[in-house]
Amino acid sequence: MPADPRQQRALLGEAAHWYARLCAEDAGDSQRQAWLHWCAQSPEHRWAWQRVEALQAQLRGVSGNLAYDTLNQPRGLPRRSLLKGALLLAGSAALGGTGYRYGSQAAWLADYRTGIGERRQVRLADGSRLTLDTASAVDLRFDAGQRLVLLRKGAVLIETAHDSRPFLLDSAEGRLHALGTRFCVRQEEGCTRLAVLRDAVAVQPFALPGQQRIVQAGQQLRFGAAYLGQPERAAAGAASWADGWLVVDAWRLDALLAELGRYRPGVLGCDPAVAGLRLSGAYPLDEPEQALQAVARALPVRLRRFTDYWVRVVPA
Amino acid sequence: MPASPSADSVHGLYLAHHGWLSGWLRRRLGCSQQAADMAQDTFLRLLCAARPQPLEQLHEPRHYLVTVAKRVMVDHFRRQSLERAFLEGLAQRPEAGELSPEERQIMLETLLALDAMLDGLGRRAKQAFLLSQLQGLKYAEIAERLGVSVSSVTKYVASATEACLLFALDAGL
Repeated sequence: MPADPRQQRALLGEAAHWYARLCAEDAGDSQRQAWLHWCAQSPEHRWAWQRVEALQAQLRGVSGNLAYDTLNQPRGLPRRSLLKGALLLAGSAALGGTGYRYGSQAAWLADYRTGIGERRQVRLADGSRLTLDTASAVDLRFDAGQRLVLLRKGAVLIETAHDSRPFLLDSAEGRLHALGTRFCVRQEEGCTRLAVLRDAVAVQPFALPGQQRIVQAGQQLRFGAAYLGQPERAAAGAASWADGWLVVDAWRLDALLAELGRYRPGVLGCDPAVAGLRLSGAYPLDEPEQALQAVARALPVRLRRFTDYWVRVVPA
Repeated sequence: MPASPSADSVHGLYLAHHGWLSGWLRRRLGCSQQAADMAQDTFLRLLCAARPQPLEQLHEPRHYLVTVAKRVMVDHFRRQSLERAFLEGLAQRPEAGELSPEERQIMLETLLALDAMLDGLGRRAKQAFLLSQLQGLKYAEIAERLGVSVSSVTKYVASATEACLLFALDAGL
């Protein structure tokens, strides 16, 4: 938040003007680009826009005829449209564009992909760096007007290079617009998880036209095609996988095993009696076997092997 | 930033003029219970408000108290009429029966806040904002209804949005 009250007021005025322009039915891509550029200028600009988002949320809570009639009394205009909830930036559906359908076979044909337990760094044509997590796949659509990454499955860490074209990433649920930045995105079943490490990223779920949210450095957020979570503090090790480590803080054993299981082929599970035990630590992702041994040392559990690939953690 | 008055100076005003103010309000409202409530609200507002001038230096304390009390009355009736309109609206809509009492209360509070935010705007700016944001009308439709140009509608929505943002900022929301 800007320290100078006059600057605060001036920026809120600017944000209000952007908002009014984006609410227009004919707001086009060039206007949205200009708005994103404005947001990207400084944390103070983003502060002002967050105040707009808060107002927007308040309005959304009361949208519709009841609110309109109440506020508009005593002169009620004749009602006509019943566009409940369809308020705000209604023209901006185009920002999300048409959602991509993600068949699982798409991953096999993807431009870049990794197998289970593999990690891969790619330097893109514009100089941006992309790190693929285990079992991940992306397609690239770079052209004169944009840099678009399509996340097909798994997770990526992205460090964007400076370029005049916008940097976009589409997951199955929505579009992310990088505002000069380093961030991690993970495609999960029916939802996308975003953690921002530097600068900021704007999120736009496909089925919620007009509901952007800006996620700042140090924040993470989960969203679906039709819902948008609240930004919360990013977990400490949100991107440590890119360095080959899984860093966890007071995780349940079952969650930790599910995560480790992404990096190793086979079946990894645990007895319900120990599923709720909690542990903290850093586990080497390139050595899942070592990670499992570390778990067995930290908790009153032992590893029971049915085959090399089928491991179950049971009470000691 | 002007300082809030000290509790002491409000206390002094209270001791000296509370009885008088209650009488003044009672004569206007015809109800001693309501008058007592509004007198309390008036002093509460003095405690919470920031002012450029210390209360001790007030030239005409009673005149000042009456000015504040009038605002309290206006706000009270405004709130009451908005609340009544809201409840009437609820009664007319069977689907509103699905709202829980908490949801109704939150909605009412939000509407009161919006009403305060939009207070002081021109009629057209307020209309344009409400039609766009609550009814989801397009700017072109709003322009037609209000008999103005689309670019005026954009300006109205911008100025109403700005008013809301500044109100929220000043209110520390």
